[in-house]
Amino acid sequence: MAVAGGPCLLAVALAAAWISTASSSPDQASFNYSTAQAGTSQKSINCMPCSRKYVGDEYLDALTGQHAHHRDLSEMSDSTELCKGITDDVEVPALSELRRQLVGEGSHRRLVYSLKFGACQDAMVNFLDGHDAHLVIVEKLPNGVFADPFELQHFVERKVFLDVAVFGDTNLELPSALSNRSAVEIHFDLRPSTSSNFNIVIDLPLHARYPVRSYKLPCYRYAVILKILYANRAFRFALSREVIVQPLDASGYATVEFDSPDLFLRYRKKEIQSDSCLWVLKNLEAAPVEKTAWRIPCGDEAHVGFVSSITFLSALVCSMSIVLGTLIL
Amino acid sequence: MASAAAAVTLRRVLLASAALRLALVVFGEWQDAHLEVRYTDVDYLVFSDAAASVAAGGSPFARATYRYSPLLAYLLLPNSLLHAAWGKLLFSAADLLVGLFIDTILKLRGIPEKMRMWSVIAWLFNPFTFTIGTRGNCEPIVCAVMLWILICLMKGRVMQAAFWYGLIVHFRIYPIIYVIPFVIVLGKSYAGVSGRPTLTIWRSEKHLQNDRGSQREGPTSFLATLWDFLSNFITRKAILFGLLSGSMFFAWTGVFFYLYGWDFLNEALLYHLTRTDPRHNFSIYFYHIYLHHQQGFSSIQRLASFLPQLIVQLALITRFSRDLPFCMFLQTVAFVAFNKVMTAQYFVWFFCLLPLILSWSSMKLKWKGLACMLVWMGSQLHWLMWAYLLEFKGRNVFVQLWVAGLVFLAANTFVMLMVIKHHKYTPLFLSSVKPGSKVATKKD
Repeated sequence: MAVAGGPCLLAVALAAAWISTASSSPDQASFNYSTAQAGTSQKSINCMPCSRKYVGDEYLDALTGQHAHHRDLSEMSDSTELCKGITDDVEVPALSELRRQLVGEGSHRRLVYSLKFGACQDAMVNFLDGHDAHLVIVEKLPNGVFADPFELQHFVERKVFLDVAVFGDTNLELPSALSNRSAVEIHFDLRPSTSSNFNIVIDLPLHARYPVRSYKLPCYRYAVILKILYANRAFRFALSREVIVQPLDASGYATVEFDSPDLFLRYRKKEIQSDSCLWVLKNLEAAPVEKTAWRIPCGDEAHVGFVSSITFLSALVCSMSIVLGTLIL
Repeated sequence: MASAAAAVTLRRVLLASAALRLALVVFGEWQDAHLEVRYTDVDYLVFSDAAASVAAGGSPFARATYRYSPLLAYLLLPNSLLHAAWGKLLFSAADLLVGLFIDTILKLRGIPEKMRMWSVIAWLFNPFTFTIGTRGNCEPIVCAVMLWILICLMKGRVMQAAFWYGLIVHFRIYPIIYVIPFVIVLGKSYAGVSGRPTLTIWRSEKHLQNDRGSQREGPTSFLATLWDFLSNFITRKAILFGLLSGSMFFAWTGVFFYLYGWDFLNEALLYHLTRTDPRHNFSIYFYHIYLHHQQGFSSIQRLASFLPQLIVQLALITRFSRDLPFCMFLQTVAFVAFNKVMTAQYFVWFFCLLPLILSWSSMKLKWKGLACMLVWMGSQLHWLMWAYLLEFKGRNVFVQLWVAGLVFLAANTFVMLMVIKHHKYTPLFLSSVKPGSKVATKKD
């Protein structure tokens, strides 16, 4: 950590106290449907009312600390009661294979998911005959990468996805910064006709922001770099005046790494009672996928001096040439 | 007979242009529905969503990145009520109107029909032009209004010109750069006893080379221009123009502020005045902005980036304001070239004025004209090549891209100087204080 100065030190101490208090709050544990409880089948199944469209918004509250949209966790936290009886005797398909690849070049790429369900075809067909089932993918995007919600809406209009939502910072114009975290939730309709042999391939188009270079913030603007290691639910904090959003290599690229996605199967019986409509949400407990990294070209802070001076000088020279031209030509 | 032939020719040109645009709109709809890459501009989707929001009783600013006057959303209400392509048809129609206005302006100035047709074709069949409107960009509307303002001024309809000028500055802001030349031409020498101005009529190309004496007709010293401007400013027409256009601007701004509050002011007005876009674009400032974006900009940096723009605008106004179309053209080229953000859609702002000055240029297409085109387009393609490598191949070419931006600025400067050198300075209006000085028309 790089901290300096008396007032800075005091601010650091206060912030650290706030953070340590916050981290011990049960409200931070908003991942009721997480893979952190892998192996506990009861906790990998939850229920939610049909009126609730998305599951991914709660991720973002924890990722970015944006408590303004913090949902009432009682909707999810104690849903075992809701699920009573619904999940009995239902043979839910399990995921047998998941692969994820980043495809493409440059600032516009695609995350391609290839999934296979382990159940035999008959079991799958039986399940889908009796249930409306959707595959739900929640992809937590790293800093520096964003999804265009309007582009994804186009996918919904073309019926590629059943539904899609983007949570968090969707400002397409800003360079990468701490507040840029976002998450994408994709709903994919599972039908015998749409999933040939139940091998599913899903493309998620993504775009890169210009990475932020390392620089020093003034003392009163602290960067709290919050890193959530999802697999073991540990929190690590770094409080620093140094803002390094992505590590940079010598050739002028920043590398962003993707966390493993969360996959769920959301289903309900086809004959729905409107007053008690519930989605059952089963965590597919996908094993962590192999690392996906994206190298993004980055402007070099070392260029600041000569870029600014030559830019202003060029503008001045060109403008004076035009002025001279108006006088003598 | 000659005028009938001319009308048929213009009609044919307009019909062919209309057919081309309709075909592109239809093709665009097909491409959007069937291919991954859209034909339609992202901005058009923004306008349409904003219009849909208004149709549903909401604010156009509910749509993220809608940074225009609500008037545009109102114009596109039929997108939700009739068909999504309504806006594109409207913009393409504005495109055709620009062609018609170019012909009107040149006819008023006595340009022969063949030259007029080439000038109209230079606009209607310019690839930038017909793709901009059919992809759903609203700039053709701005161009049409600017040319209409010019026609109003040429016909002595000052109040009408003021009405549209106030409206268009509210709509797009950049036309504010023309306010000083407008006030200057509306000065003492604008209109005679009848109240209508007398236009200078075009003379043949032979006289462009021979008549060097009239090259320095206008005031050349800054003090003379300043005095000219100040003494002109107190004329009735100039004051009325300023008052009415200013009132129009504040009235529209006031109405929409009342309806939509600070959302309107921030997004439609203040954003454009303070915009610093760090994403790569043609402007030489983009890399400087990107490197400084997180830290912000000092007052000195803001001033340093504004100063060249200001110097050039003042120099052009001082020298060329009475040759109004020419002054507007150069001011627009300079405004776009020295701006902190430069995108291809801004080019139509001066493309619509280019046909109005071609007839007064001694620059032949072969080879100086072609050289200017090649230099301008070549430097643009050079920039686009580096931008492609950065954006689509992911290579770190920020420095090369920034240098390409500098080269493009140099190209713009070169073209401006060439155009200035070969232009025959001709005030738009004959001074009413010098009777009998109307020049006879000589056709080729």
